[in-house]
Amino acid sequence: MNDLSPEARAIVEGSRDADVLSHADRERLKQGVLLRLATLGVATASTGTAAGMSLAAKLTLTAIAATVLGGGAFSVWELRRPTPKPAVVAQRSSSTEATAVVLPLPEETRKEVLVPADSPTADSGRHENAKKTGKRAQAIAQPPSAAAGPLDPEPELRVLRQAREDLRAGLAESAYRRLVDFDRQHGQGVLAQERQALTVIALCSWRPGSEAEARAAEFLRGSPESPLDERVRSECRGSAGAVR
Amino acid sequence: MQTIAANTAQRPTPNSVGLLEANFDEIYESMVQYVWNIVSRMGVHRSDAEDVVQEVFVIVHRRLDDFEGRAQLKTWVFKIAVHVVQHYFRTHARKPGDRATAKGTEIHSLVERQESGPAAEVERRERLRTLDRLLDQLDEPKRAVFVLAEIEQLTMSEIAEIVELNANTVASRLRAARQGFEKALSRFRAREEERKR
Repeated sequence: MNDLSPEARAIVEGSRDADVLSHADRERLKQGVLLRLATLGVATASTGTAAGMSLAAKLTLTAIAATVLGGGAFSVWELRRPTPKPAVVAQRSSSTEATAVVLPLPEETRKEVLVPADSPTADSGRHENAKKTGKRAQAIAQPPSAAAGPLDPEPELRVLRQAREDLRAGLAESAYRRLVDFDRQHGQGVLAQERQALTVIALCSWRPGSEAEARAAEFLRGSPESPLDERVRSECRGSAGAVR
Repeated sequence: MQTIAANTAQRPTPNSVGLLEANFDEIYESMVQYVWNIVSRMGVHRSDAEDVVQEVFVIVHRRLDDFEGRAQLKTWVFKIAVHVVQHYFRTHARKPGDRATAKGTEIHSLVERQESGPAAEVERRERLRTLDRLLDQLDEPKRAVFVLAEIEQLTMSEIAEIVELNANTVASRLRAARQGFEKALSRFRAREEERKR
C-alpha cells in the first residue's frame, strides 16, 4: 500500500501529541458528561441538593450560554435546568446509618453533596443525634432551595440571549450597553466569563479599535483555557490585529 | 477489560451501579484523549468539539451494559465516536473543512504566527493547524479512515469494524486518503512558497 512521504509522515507524527487535554479539560468534559447523564436520569443517582444543584445548574446553564454565545450547538446539548431531584438515592441498610449510592460527581460537587445537613456547619447541636437516626441521606435528599439564590443564573441567561439577539440584529452598541449595565448591577455571577466574552465581542463589533483590542487581549489573558477564547479571537480579529 | 465484560453482562441494578460507575471512570480516563483526538481531527468545529466528546461518553455510559467484551474497548469506543461525529455532520450541515474556510481563518493564522507567546505553544498550534488544513481537503469518509489509520494507528481490521466496511474497501479508501493528503500537502507548500516571495 502506498505509504506517506517523509514530509507528510512528519506532519502527522509531529502533531500526534500536540493536542493533549489538560487535567482541567478532562475534568470539565467529565463534568459535562455527568451532568448530561444526571439530566437524562441515568442510573440511581442524580444531582440536586442545594449545593449540588447550584453547580449542576451552573454547568447546564454554562452549556446553554455556550449555545447562546456560539449559535448552533449539538442538539443534545439543548438542556434545560435539571429538574430538582434527590442528590442521592439512599439505600437504608440494617445499620443505623444510611448508605448512599452517589453518582461520581466531580470532587468539588461530591464534597458539597455529601455535606450532611446535620454536620456541625449545619447545626452542631443536632449532629450526633441526627447521625444516629440516619437523617443524613434524608437531609441530603431534600429538594434544592438555592436555585433562586445569589447564583440563580436566569437573569444572566436572559441578558446573554438578549445581547446575542442584539448582535444578530446589528445592534452591537445595545448589546454592549446591556451587558455592561448588567455587570454594574450584578457583578460576579455564574456566567460571568460568558458575559465578559460577549461584552468583548460586542465592543469589537461596535467600536473596533484600541480599546476593543485591549479588552479582548485582557479577556484572553485572564481566561487562557476558556472554550470561548477562540470565539473572542475570531470575532475580534478584524478590529484588533494584535489580539492573540 | 475483563472486569468490564463481566460486570456489564446484565443490565445494571442499583447494587451494580457503583461497579458500572467505576468502570465508566476507568474508561473515561483511558479513552478521553483518544476520543478528543478523533473528534477534533475528523473536523468537528472547535466550538462544538467538547459537546461532541461529551455526547460520545454519554452514549458509552448508557451502552456500557451492552459491551460484551468481544470487541476491544478502544474499537468499541471509537466506533461510537465515529458514529457521533457522522451524526454531527449530518445534523449540523457542517462538513469537515468548515473550520478552514471559516471567515478569516487565514488571517487568524497569520496573526497568531506573530504572537509573542511561548514559542513552543505557537509551534504546537501551527502544527495542528497545518494538519487540520490538510485533513480538511479530504472528504469525510476518507478523513475518518486516515485519522484512524495514520493518527490513531489502528489496524485495517479494527478500522473495518469501526466504519463497518470490509478490510479491502478500507485499504482502498486509505490509499485514496493518503494520495489526497499528499496532494493537499503539495498545494499547501506551493502556497507557502508563493507567500514568501
